[in-house]
Amino acid sequence: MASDHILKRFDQELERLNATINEMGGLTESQFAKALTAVRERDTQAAEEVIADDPKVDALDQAVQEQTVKLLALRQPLANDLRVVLSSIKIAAALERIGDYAKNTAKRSIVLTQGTAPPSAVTGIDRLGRLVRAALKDVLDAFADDDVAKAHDVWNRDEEIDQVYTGLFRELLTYMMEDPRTITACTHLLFMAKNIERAGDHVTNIAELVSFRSTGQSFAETRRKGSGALYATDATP
Amino acid sequence: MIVTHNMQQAARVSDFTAFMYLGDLVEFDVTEKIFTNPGDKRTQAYITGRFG
Repeated sequence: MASDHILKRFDQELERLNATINEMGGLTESQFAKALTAVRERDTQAAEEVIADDPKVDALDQAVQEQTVKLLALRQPLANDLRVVLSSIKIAAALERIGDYAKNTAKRSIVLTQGTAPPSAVTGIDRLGRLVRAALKDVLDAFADDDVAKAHDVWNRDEEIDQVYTGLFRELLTYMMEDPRTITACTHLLFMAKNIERAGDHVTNIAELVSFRSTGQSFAETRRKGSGALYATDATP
Repeated sequence: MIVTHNMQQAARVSDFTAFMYLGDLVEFDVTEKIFTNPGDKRTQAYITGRFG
């Protein structure tokens, strides 16, 4: 039985939608990587490039919305096609948010070049960022290859990201208590860490959507949240 | 019971849907399942406009 639709245009439109998401994924990944470089290398120019390129990510998100509206209105997709169209809207929205977090991290990195940020805290941000960056790359590969097992692996890694974030949170509090002059820089680092951790959550959502579009089901098992300790009343070190 | 080739009509009026192909019953399930995540590849190919 043919895997192509009777109407060739329908196939072409679905392929184009996938291509737009892949392009958006590639751009978001490079924005995120460049934002991390800006923090690590104190590279103001890289940071400014990230900020300047954010509208490109937004434009691709807009393109995905327009393509999905057209597909829904003209082709009335059902079953796996419907799941592809719906998940595309949500994946694009998640990538757009990740792009915004990259932009925010880049903005804060410019402020950091003027302050006294503890070097080991900057290293911690970079470590957290690398974990999320690797997860983002893998989830985009899983999307491109329709690889549910790989998406599940990415989904499982969010716990580690949450734990590193929790560790970094405590570390930054300690720096601020030891030396109040670092409070400005550490507050920026704290927001960066939160943004990067949130980007990781969006990566996890994309992993679920890769499963949903392929199988009609999300990953059902409940996962222990690594950041739970943050919200305990005795969390302050 | 209605017999139709119109997917919108089938989805709109029924609680359960059966897909038949060349005289054989391929799949029978609640309508929502048939139109969102059918169990049989042939059902999926038919309702998504890949043949028929």
